[in-house]
Amino acid sequence: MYKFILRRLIIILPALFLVSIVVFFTSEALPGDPSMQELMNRPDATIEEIMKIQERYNLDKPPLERYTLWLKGTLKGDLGKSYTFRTDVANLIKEKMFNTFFLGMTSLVIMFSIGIPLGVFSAKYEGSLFDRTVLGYNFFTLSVPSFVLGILMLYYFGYTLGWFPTSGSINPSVYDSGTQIQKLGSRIYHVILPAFTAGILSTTTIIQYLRNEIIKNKGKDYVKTARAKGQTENIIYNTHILRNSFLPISSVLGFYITGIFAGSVITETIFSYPGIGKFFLDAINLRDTPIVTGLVLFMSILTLMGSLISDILIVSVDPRVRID
Amino acid sequence: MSKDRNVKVSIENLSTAFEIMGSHYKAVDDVTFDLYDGEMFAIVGESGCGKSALALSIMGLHDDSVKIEGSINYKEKDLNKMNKEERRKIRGFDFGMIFQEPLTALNPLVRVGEQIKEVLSIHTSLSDSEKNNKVLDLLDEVGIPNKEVVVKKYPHELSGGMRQRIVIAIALACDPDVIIADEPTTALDVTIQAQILKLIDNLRIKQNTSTILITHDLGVVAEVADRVAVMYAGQIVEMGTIDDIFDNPMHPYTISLLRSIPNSDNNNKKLYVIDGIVPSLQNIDRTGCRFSERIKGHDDSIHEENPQLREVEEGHFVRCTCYKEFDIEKSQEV
Repeated sequence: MYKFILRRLIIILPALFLVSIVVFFTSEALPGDPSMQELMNRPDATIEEIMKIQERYNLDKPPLERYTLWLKGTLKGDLGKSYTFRTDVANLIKEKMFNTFFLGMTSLVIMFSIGIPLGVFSAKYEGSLFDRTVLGYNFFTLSVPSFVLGILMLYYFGYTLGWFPTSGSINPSVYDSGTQIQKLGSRIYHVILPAFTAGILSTTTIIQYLRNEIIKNKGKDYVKTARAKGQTENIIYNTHILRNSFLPISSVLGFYITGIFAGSVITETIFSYPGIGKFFLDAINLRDTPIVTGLVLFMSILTLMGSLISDILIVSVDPRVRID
Repeated sequence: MSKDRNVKVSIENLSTAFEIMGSHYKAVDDVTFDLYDGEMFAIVGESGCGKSALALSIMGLHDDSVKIEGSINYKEKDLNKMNKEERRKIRGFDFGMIFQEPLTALNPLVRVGEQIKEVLSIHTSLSDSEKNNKVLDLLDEVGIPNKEVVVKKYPHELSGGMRQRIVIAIALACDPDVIIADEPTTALDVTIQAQILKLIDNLRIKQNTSTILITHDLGVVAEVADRVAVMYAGQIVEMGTIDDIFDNPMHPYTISLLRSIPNSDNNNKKLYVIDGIVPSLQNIDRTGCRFSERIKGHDDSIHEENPQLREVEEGHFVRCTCYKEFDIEKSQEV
């Protein structure tokens, strides 16, 4: 098992190298340049001033050299300086990352705690009114885009009812002088609306997967064998059928974890939640290339890690998948 | 020979009807037979003639939408009248079942030793170590070498023959009175088939288990069965001892089946093929002789209007009167 993980990690390295090339040169191709931004309000700027700014960001060097410099820095954890914030990109991302992670984990918990029971029970009572209601719910969550549900939630629970805050990740006064518990409470209070929006909309896949798998497994021969053994229906359902039905979910779980970060862009923007999703969008609008590059690289690493996590999960739950 | 033996299970007028588009169609239609102590009773017939439906009815493994009528008498009780819980306790304990496809019959995520142990946990109060020992004994009994290694294997790590031995061990775990083997060798290659068949037969002799062997392979039947029932379109058309069926077949269907076996003796002759197919469940003509459509070159008057299963010799039953006039050569010429 350890060998398998190690080997998978080693395979990731060349993939990462390729990703870094693509990421760097794609963002190079983006229009915009920091000197233009800094000197936007100064049409009278001299050529020397522009050159000075370009020199500061190594923009005067040829692309290959810039790539090598960037790669060296990245390997040391230095993603360069932001054009707009004038500080280290790594530090900027770190702050937002926690928020996004918190939002992602909460929506993951919501997704599983709604999705698993709905999937399990709709399959158990296949064809019943409950099952058909769940199918209707699935149809709804699949067709409603997150920005529509997000705005509705925001309007109804945030504005009309006023139950939840409509922006931010924590109450600023609590952030400055609250106890740990107060801070956690405020964070949860702020995360509920965006987490529900993201969580509810991602239940579709999990319900559909589970329901189909369970219905498929119900008719399998080994279930018949278990009945022929005289096993009770409850145990047949809860052990034999469910265990086999959760297999495909473990194979997508890793990608869900990636999806948290990548998919948070819209949710965070709607709820003005200061995570990396919203930050990413802002950085693109500001043409802040170092931030964009850093974040895309970070998400690429996450995608690779997500598939690694999925592989490890599959190997550990399905004895049929060989690792050597 | 059958008169002096005890009846273990007596099946009377058993019908199994499946629901298709709102109406019920009988896949097993009025089947009556006795299963004697320690005998190997074979049920043969083409695919779709109701063999497996019959097996599942005896085990009580059909789901609720299937309508089962008639009685299955075992130990002075009618299994068909029992509630689900009583029925469940009999399964695996008094009645064991061997399935056709040994790979899918085992849970892919559970070690085979655990799967055998499951039966013991359901029906016995043995301690864990006693159960483990019993599992090893069972593996011995079904002829598995390296049993200490095999108990920890997953189904996919074993060969087809080995898996079928595991399935047999599951069926045998609680020393059942009756074993129903539903095409136990169909999914295996020929050499393994013979081994598995021999194993089932030896275990039957050793433990005096009554065994119902369901198959479409007459070669298998000839090797191990004591008595044979030939089924066609849900009904038993002929039933008798192995000698009755193979040496003195009477019903046109039995004769045709036996003629369809490739045989090295009739080198230059074309292999006999029964014309037509088994009618599908909705299309069975429920009046008259069900096999009449597939008999060529004969007048329809040879059939009974309402064919009955009659004892024509001691212990040899044949349905319909058409057997008296049937001539296979005549049927083949047309």
